[in-house]
Amino acid sequence: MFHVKHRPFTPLAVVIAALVLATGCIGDTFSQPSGWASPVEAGEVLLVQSERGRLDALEFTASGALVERWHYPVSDDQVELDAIYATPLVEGDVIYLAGYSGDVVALSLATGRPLPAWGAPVRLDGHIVATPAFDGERLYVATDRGRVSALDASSGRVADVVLDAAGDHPIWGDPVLVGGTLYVADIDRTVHAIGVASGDARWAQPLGGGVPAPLALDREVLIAGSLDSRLYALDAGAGGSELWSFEGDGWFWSRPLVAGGSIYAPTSRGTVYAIDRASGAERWSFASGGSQIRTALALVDGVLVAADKDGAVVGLNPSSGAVLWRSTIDGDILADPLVRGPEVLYLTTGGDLVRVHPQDGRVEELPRLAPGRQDG
Amino acid sequence: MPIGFVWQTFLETPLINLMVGLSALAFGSYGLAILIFTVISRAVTFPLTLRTLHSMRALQDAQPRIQEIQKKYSDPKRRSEETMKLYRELGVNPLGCLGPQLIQLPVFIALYQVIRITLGTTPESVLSLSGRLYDWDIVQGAIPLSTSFLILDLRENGPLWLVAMVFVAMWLQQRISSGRTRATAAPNPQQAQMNQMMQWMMPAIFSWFVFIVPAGLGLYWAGSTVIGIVLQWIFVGPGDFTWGSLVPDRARASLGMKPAAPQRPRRPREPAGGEQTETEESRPEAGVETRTDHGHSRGQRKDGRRGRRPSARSARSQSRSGRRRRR
Repeated sequence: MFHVKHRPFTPLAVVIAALVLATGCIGDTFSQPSGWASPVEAGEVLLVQSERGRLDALEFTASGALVERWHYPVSDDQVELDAIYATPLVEGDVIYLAGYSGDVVALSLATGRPLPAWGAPVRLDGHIVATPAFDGERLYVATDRGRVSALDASSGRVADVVLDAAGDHPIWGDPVLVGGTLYVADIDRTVHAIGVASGDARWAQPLGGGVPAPLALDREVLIAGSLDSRLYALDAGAGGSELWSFEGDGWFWSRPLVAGGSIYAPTSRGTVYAIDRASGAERWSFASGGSQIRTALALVDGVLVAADKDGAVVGLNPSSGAVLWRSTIDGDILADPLVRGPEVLYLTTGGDLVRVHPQDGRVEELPRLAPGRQDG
Repeated sequence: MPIGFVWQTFLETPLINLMVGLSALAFGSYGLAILIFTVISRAVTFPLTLRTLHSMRALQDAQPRIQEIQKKYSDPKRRSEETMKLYRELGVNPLGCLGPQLIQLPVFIALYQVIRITLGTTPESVLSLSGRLYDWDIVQGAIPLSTSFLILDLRENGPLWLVAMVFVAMWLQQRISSGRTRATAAPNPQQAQMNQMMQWMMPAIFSWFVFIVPAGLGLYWAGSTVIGIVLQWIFVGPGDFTWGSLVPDRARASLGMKPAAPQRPRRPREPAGGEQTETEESRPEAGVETRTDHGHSRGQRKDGRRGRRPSARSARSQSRSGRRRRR
């Protein structure tokens, strides 16, 4: 039975309740960036993003556990990196770190403190996802505003803007710098070749889809994975003309691996392809049946290791694609692996480091001690 | 089956693919895709909208009789029963007064989720989209989506001009919807105050939401409200709303205009044959208490349908007796 007394607040309350329920946490409208920076080995430490927007320098103890040596930023730094997608660059005893926030900073490898010559982090306009390129003097940092800035490595000063594709042209894939030419691809379906000394555009090649993946250059062949489910091979020395393109079953978002005349590339549908480098013909494919593969493949001691987002790891014969073993990592995997001698290290999105033995697929989580603690 | 799975599989994921597909068809413009979707969603829900509009109108027409019942019966239970009886007689649903906006709420909710998923700016959000797209070339090839439309960034919170547009459109819609109620029922001051509050609160609440959600959603809501006004105007009519009534009396006086005419009630008309079946609007003198009967114009039934209801005569007779008493 309806109450027929006029209650105008009832529909109002219904509307408010429905909207609040529907929109949930309004402040978190879009997903927060998490970052997928690959772990890096620098001397005695491993550099990993253990927490969102925080770089940890971890060292091994005698028992093989990990303990923090330092982390950046600390509360006094008054900087928020938001997340770290770009792999930290290590040059000598300096770490160049680019955060999603657009901040670029040079840190001392020994202490994790910013270099005095740089002072405060350099804030670029836009978010940084791609790992910067470095030519010994300048860092080339790409942002999601379609701009590539050249930063003086000694001072952090923005020396030049070598690419300014105004508009909505995010650059997410790592650029490649070879012989004074910077190859960079954007999400808006274009690959650029830029002479960094002059800032001249050497060529620009439109593709059928956006390029979110890091580029790979093998001699004069530039490999670009695309959102149109194609892997493109461009002739870097001939104006970027297309040599071939290979169509897979999903997006190519992972760094292509070139070895032994083959290109190995996984897709967002969890399939690994081996493609002939010269012709673009498929040599074999392996459908994992699992989730998307964002992380790069690793080739160690004749075993091709692939990990999907859900942590399913598989060892494949690189010649045939035959499955050698299967394992599971407890956690999501988006960061590229670190090949460290005979083992492959994966960083989970939860910040745990996991060691995978390519010969048999054994998985070991690396224990981590609280800061300041030692074995025993 | 978990409700989350059902929601994702049967509503969210198809809608994601629809929006991405529409974006591809709309020359890569996601904003245009939202507007096309707005038209589609209004077309799909049109029968329901029409029913609601007619129900709303019938309720408005019944306000004087409800007032009578409230005056006549002091016992709340009896009052409620009598009013329900009246609703049954008129063939209306009292929840129809929730308004056409509520019909759009499920779409609003789903679209919020879809915009959140499809227009995510982080690499993770785009990567996760890959798992939600069907294996159709048209949707697979549409990524990345354009996030700008005219001067709007569809990902950012609604700009003030969009907020203002939504507020004005919703206020106008409420004004058109409630105009006849306010005029005809001569409600008690408390009721009038509440109506007035609804007039302002609904636009204010939705405008606030447009301000804090992505502009793409605001674009949908603005488009949907404008279409709603047009539909209401075409299929139900403006009621007693006139554009001139938007000008405040004080402003009219300063401009040397005539005072705003009171809302025009419907006055009974004795048709040929002596049976009172039709009404038409008349304009009473200013300052005279506005009253109306509960008829509809030009052969329209009180439930908004065309033709004559079997119970129409008894309903009208009650109405007449009520008016005589007031006189």
